[in-house]
Amino acid sequence: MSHFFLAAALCLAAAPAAGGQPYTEGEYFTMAVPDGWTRKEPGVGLSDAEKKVFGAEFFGPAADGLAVLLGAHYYAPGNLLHATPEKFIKLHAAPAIGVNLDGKVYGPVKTGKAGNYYAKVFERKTYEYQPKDALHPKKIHIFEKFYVVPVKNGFYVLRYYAPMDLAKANLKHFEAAVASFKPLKR
Amino acid sequence: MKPKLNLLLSALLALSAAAPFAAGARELTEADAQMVLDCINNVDPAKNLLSPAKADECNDQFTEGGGELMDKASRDFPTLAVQAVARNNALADLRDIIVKYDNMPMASGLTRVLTERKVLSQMNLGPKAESVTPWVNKHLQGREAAFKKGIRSWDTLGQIRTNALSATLSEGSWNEVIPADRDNTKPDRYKTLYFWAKDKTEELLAASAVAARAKDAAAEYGPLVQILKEDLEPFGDRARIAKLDKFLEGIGVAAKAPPAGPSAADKKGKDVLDAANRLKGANSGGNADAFLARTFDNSNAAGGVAGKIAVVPGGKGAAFTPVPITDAQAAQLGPRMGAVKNGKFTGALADEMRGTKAGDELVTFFEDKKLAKTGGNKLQLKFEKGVDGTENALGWYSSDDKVTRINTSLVDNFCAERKITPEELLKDKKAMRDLAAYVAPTFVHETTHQRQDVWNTQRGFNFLRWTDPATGKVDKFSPYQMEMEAEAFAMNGSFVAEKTKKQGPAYLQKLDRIDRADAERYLEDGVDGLRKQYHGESYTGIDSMRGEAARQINAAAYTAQRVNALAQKAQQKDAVMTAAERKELQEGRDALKTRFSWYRETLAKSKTDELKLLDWRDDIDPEGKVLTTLKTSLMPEPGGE
Repeated sequence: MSHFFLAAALCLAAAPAAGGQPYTEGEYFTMAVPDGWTRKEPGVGLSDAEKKVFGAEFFGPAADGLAVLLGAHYYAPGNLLHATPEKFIKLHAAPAIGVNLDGKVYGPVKTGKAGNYYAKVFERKTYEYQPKDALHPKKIHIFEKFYVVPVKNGFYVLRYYAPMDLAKANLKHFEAAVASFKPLKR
Repeated sequence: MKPKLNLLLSALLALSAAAPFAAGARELTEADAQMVLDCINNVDPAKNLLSPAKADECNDQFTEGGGELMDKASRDFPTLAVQAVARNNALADLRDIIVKYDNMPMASGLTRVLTERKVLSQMNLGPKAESVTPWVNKHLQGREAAFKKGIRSWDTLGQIRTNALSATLSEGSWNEVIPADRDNTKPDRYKTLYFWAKDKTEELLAASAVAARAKDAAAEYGPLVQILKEDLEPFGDRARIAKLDKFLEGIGVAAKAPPAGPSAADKKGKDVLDAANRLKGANSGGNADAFLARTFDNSNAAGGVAGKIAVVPGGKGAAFTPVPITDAQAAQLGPRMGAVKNGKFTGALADEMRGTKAGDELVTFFEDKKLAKTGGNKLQLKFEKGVDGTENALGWYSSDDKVTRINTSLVDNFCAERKITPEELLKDKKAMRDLAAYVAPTFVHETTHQRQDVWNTQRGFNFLRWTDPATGKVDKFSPYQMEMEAEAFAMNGSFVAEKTKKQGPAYLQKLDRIDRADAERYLEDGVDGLRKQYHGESYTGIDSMRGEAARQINAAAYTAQRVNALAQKAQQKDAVMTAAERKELQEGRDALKTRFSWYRETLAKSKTDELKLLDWRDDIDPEGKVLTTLKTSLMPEPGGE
């Protein structure tokens, strides 16, 4: 009987958030992707398997030539980018170069949940310069939000990136995707 | 019982079996032949598959394991191999352009691949942008609206615009205009809309006092102004946009970003436009605007005003007027900043670069005696004023004259910020060292391009030719694609990150914010962090690796046909090949081998470079003492400041 109730509880807990298209990234995770957002294919360079980082990015609406992005990635043990979730957080929740000279804003790291899984959550406000390496580029304000989900083997990062003009309106789509997230490598 | 192979599959296997044996060559299995056939079918316009997902599979499979299968295919059935590789890369590239970009950047990318390159049109995709719509609808669900808006299709313009344009244009004639012209030599949709918006803005502003007194000014003019802003935005016409925002405030409308698409209010378009036209006066006179005949006016589409230096307060309260560097002064800077003397890299830049992994690699490059005999690593460093295409660039390396140039605008900015003249700079050793620190990231970036030039030349990948029409001189050069920028940005990012580790935050204050941003991205997310920046406006004019592969492999299509024909003749029992035919066959095979090798080895280099740069990144520890003293700020709500 206890198994029945446990199974029922798990089923209820795993109910997907309203809206969005179900998406499965191989053996790594499932989540609901906002309607109309398009998956970005990886470029050249090292493959996911070579980096041991698996996941996907989805493009949403755009402003100032930059699109809103939703990223979900699994960093396997031994990956080439970030050895631990703590290192990922240190490099993204505070200036990676050790000092903030350009007025970026970093929010505190809090505890939260991605789906039903414990996560470290933080936000930041940064900039893009367009065009790149130009003398007088346009400065575009960017809002980002991160959910870092540690698991027994490796960790996950759910990432929201948006030009400030679009950040507020699209945040709810990201949060819905986060609420629907389920890691398969636990 | 084994299923009967189809004819083409059998033909592929037969071709492969009959082809001259290459030592160590992989034998084509039935599974290989099926895979090749599937990839050929994917890009056969008659079969109408054209799946970008299948294209990705094909591109990966062809280059797997060092590209053995592609090598075999290019030797045994070169014509089909060229089609399969070029077209599948082109499909993946087209998908990426439509997914990653919006508005004018998308339109520019589409112009490049649909009208300038010749691959997609072989699959009935292009040259007209609208011809791609069914493909987008089939394969890129979720991007249909963005695609149509990106190419400014007639049905996305809305009534305000179509009413304004209909004096000279119809939907049919609009469809004949390319969405975005990359060379600024032809009319295009974005420019057409810009010129209309510019003129309409001036009319509106000239009569703004009258407009503001209109009974329902916000409803009458608000939608029009949003449309005008949307059409001024791609060309960075911030001055007019600011004036329009002020006009909106004057009529009680909060200024906002241009709408994402035709708004509901646009349905009132005809009335709105009529209201605006009434302001022009009953007898406006003037020409019916010949939008298509207008020459673009050289507005800086990159945004910002290049070359203007503001007057800054001087140290003792007196105003300091910056002095631009002269050509003669700039000529002194190059040799003093960096030169190779007796095989040793010397100068302020050399001192700045030594002691870092990226810097030491490039110092070794300049000091390589073996390479010096070829002249490939010769350092020719010049400080010059950027003009036309380089006006807004920090620096550039030219493979035709092998010169690395740094824009003197950087020097002018440097001197202005420090309130010194160029003459004082040249006499001040500390200032010169600081200038070296300031320009070193740019120099690292451009020298990486010089090194790429040498890498390509050593392998014979400088197979492209350009003849100077004035002198008749023929330059050899290599294909240029985005992975070259990925490496160059990662090198300057790594350089700055490592310098910061060694010298601390004081070093960062000497740099441009762009160089700090690159270092930060490199530390945060490695080479991918720098690749991902390219989904904005920047570099949409440059082919991706996939796009360039499609172009260069396709360029060998005629050669592949000749090799095919001559190889078949050579295998005929009683055929007699002339010496010229044997020579042509060998040269053709060599040319194909070079093109496919460029593709395969460039992809492999991209991986090797990334591995190395990630390895360096692991050694650079940003977690210095400064972090423990940092306070994090409270995060404002998104949209707030």
